[in-house]
Amino acid sequence: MKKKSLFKIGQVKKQSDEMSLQITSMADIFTIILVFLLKSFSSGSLNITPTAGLRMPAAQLEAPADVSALKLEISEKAIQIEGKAVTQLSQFKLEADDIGPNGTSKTLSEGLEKERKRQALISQSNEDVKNDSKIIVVADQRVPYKTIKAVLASAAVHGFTDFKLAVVNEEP
Amino acid sequence: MSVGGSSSDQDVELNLASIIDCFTVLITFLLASSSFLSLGILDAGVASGGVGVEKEPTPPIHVELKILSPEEYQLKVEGKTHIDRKIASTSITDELKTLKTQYPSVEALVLSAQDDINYNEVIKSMNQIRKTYPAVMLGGFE
Repeated sequence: MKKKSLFKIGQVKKQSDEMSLQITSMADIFTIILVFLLKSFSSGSLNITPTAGLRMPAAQLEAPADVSALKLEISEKAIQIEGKAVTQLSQFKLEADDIGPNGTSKTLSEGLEKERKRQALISQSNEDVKNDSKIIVVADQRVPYKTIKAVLASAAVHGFTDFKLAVVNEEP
Repeated sequence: MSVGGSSSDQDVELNLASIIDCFTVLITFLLASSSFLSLGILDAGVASGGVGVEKEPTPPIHVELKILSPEEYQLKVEGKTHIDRKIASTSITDELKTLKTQYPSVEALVLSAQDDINYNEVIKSMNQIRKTYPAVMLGGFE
């Protein structure tokens, strides 16, 4: 019986040494992704980086605002002023010994007092900078109103009366 | 025109390598800076206390809405009209529109809530109220 040889003499295929990379499809994909990202790119809008796990409430707004003010964040475990934790919370609630007689938070009041003094110091050396009453409140949607009241009362006592509540823009 | 000259057809190969390089850098930058959530601001004031609260002329009525539960609200109106009753959350807009029609000069409303009401409910209420009364102040401070 004739053995069939897998390697037939004289019929070796020539393999090309050159390998061309097909990048036309990649260019197509990149173009589409780039157009999409350019379309959704926006600069100058409200710049807030919430803490991981913080769920902001949603609301319908006419246009996103561009506001520069002191940022106060209320999460499950802490209240932060400009990214620095000043008050400890337990499941979005203030500690009982932290609440003052007028319903304000003692630790938060201390933090806000420091911010006020810092602003006053800056405005002394720079006439263009004046004491700002604006404050941006970034709060988790699960925060009870009691905590919100204490925070707002603490802020109002220290001159921060123009509250800007940060929300996620909801499509109508 | 050349007589007897060879044809000048040349295959031009488009070099996409540099375009891909540019696209890669641009896409990486845009992905890092993109935001898929649009954030906004709701203006709110405080109904009482605080430094810098400006006094305004007394309006004909003072409207206060309190969130008792996600389904039930308490509407209080004082001044030229007196109202103190519980209303359903579905009828807030109609009630406020009726008041607005009677007293169109009133632009502000005080919103408060029970202590255990979530912030999300407060924001939803503000969102609804702002369609009729653009200036919403948070109250309930003792």
